[in-house]
Amino acid sequence: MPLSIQQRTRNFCIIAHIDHGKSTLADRILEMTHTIGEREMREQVLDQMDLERERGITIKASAIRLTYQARDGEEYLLNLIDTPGHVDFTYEVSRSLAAAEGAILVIDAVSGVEAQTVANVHLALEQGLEMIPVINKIDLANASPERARQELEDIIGISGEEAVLASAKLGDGVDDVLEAVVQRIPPPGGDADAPLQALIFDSHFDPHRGIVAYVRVRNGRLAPGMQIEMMSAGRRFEVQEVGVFTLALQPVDELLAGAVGYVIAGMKEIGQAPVGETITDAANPAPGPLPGYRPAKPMVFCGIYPTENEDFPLLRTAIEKLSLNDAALAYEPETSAALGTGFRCGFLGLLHMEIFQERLEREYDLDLVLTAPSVVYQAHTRDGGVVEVDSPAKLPGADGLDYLEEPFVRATIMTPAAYVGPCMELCQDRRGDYESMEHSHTNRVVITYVIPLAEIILDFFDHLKSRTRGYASLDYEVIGYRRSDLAKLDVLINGDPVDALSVITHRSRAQQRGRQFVKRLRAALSRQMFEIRIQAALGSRIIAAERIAPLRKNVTAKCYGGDVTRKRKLLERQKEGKKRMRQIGKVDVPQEAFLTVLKIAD
Amino acid sequence: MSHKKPSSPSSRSPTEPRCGIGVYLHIPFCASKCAYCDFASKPLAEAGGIAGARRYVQALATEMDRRAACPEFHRAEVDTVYIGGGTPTVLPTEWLADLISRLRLRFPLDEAAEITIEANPGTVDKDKIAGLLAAGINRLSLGVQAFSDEVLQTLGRVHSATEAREAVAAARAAGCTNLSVDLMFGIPEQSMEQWQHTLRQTLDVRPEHVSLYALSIEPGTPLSCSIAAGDLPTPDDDLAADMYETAHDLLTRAGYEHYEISNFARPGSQCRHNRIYWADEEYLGLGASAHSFRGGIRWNNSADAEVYIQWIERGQLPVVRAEALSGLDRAGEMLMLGLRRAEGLSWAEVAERCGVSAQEVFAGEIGRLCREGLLVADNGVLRIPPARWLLSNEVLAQFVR
Repeated sequence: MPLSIQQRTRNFCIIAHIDHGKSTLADRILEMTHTIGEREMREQVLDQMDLERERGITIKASAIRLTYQARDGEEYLLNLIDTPGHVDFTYEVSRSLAAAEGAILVIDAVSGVEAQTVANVHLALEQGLEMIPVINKIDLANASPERARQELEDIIGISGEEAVLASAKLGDGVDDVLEAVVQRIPPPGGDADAPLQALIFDSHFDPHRGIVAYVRVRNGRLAPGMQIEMMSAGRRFEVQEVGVFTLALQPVDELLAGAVGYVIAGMKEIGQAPVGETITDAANPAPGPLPGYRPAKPMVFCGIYPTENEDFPLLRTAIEKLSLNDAALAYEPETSAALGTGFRCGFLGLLHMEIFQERLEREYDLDLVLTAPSVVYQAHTRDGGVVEVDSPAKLPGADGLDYLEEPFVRATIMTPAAYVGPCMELCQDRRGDYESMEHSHTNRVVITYVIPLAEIILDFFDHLKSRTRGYASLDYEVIGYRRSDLAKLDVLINGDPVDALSVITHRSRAQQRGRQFVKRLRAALSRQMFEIRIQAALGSRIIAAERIAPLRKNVTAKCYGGDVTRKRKLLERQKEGKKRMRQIGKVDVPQEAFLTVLKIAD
Repeated sequence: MSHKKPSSPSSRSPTEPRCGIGVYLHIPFCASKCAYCDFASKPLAEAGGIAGARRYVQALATEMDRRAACPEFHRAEVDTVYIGGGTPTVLPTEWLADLISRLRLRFPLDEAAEITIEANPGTVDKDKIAGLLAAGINRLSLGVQAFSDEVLQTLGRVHSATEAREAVAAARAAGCTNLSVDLMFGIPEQSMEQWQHTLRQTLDVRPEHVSLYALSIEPGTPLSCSIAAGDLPTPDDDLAADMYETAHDLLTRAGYEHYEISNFARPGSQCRHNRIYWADEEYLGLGASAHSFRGGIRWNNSADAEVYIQWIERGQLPVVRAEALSGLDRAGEMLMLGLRRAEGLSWAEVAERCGVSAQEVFAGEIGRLCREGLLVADNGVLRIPPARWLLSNEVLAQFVR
């Protein structure tokens, strides 16, 4: 008896650390299944955004359907769901995993298991996914597959025996990987005759057709013409089209239980098809929604302002458009005395923030000023209330404030044993509390610390990399709020606070940051016709100060040979330069000053 | 055209309108390029030598003929002439004399016209200067820059301090009674002592006129490269400010009027030609890179001497850019230029010439500048107090677009 479509379907994703070869493996799989011909072959097709390709990382999950002629003679439908590899995007990983029954775990035969890999494997195991470890890059001279096997057992707890050896670059072992997908990953369960339950795991915005929701059908069937209902929001839509992911969207008649595909139903905003939502048949609803997954909560906030005030409408449009494809982004308008009108934006992490900034600058040609990134603090007021503070400006006044709490994370660092000392020093330096240390048989150490998230988002990762010559990897999860001795650090220019430069900081750090801020600001300001005093203050207490002597000379010689135009142009440039500056009190502050002062690394 | 004969400059009140024009002649050759210079000038040797210079001077004469024939300059009375460069005195004296004769032929040249030539020490001796005076030149502007060999070397000047003193003496011996000395300050490694020495040496020879220029570092010049490479320090602005104030004190105490931001004169010896520029009056510039202003239009010739010659030889005017000023533009320029002078300028002048009430148009800017002490307005006259001249750009920039 021939196998049903459901029995011939395999839904899987690939989990890997950055640079471990996930995209290359995906490309080889696409080639070997003839999903794309040589001519269409772009390097790393799954990473669609230019930015992803440049940074070599995957930001947005994406999916594609392949057909594979297996050794048993059957033709299988494989849905490959891509996952991002960076710690900021743990949430996006978890939603990709929710659509699959199995995962290929790619491990670099040279560098071995990394911290984020462990985190993602835990996510996959929690979801009950079948794991297929693949030890990649075995063609490299310094590859050590045996060590990688050992780490699989020691660190992850999966039998190294099961690992497939491969070189995605050369194509070696890729057929074994596909065979393992077919043999080891179970076909999707679910009942095509039961009421519809389909999980939205991703979406994108199409300017002509609205939201294209990516779904995994768990039970029932989804077809054009059906009235569907979003089970938690209760909104109804009529299905216009369903389809599967080939290189382009490929419409089909219906999606049955076990299928991965898309649905277009006249949804205009990403909020109408939120990730984690369950779609059901309005006429024959399922008894309840599928278990959703933890909602993405922005952890890092910053103000984003256009350098030129007149670009605000463009910035608004840009943010609105990008947010259509970015469910994790939070934003609201914000006004700064120093920077004008902009947005307070919330991100999953610093990388998410940087990528967003780059997209605004690259795709919308905007010049931006970003304020210092801040975590979300909880301010406990004297009257017993709790206020979420995602911006120093929102901090309640000293008289109303009882105490502050900040978010802490459990940071897991994996490092070669030789760098344990520097890693621990860094953690201690960042107000970390030591938790545990585990050694593997391969001379690798897993260290865990509890550290304030604010310390991580500063420049922790850069320092970690430089102290371990790039060998250490980091993962962290937020574990909750704890009380901390925090204070608002203000920067004043001639007595006027510069709101854009205020930060909330731990008291032990205030002096150092204050000094750094005033020094940088001093270097970034030019002399003006009066003395400029730059101060850093904790409340009314000045903790650092610099001064800039008044300008004495701004004069040009005669206009040579009657060249009035040249002189006028020179003055016009001076005036134009000033117009581009922000005024703090009477002091002209160039945009670059904000950038320089807020720069994270030295 | 007015038939009123221009009165002598010393007897004319600064605000009395002129009716003549000034003529500027540009000679784009020098003996060698100075380290700070970004003007349209080339060493004679690199510009085709004396034969190249000959072609240029012929083109200049042709342009003069052609301009004189233009309706807007027909019979325009010339009351100042300024031959600048480069170093015009690298040319044979007869050529310069021919240019002046030709000018006299083409334009009504006022008998009392001020005729200035720029000269550099090392390019003139007593005989050369006597020849220039005989040709009708009556004012010599000598590019001394400093009486200190170290400073002259930093600037890349070809002359020494001794040659500078000799040039001044030669001018006097030849009978020059209207001598101007150019000095520069704010030069890398220049000390206050060197500057005071230069000022004292200058006062010793009692020139009728002294111009002081703060060195500006122009991009692409050898000097700016030396600074970028760290071979020379960036000039210290505070020291330059001190130098300017020292010069003001020394020169005014010695009887000179500080009549414009960069210029000092003994009574009756202000430079009439340069006053034309500051007073927003009209002038005709002839030669490569020369600028003109007539009938509310500013224009300038190609700065490339070779292009200039070719256009002239092809029978064209070598104008590369022209701009008709609106009343508002012109009012801004009047303020930008007129406020450089000690006497400032009056609302009435601006209103009369531009049909614009500067008081109203720039009310906000002027009010603020007055409150900040950068401007003074009394009796309908606006001026920058001398103590704030070093910051004049902060004021003047308010009146441009």
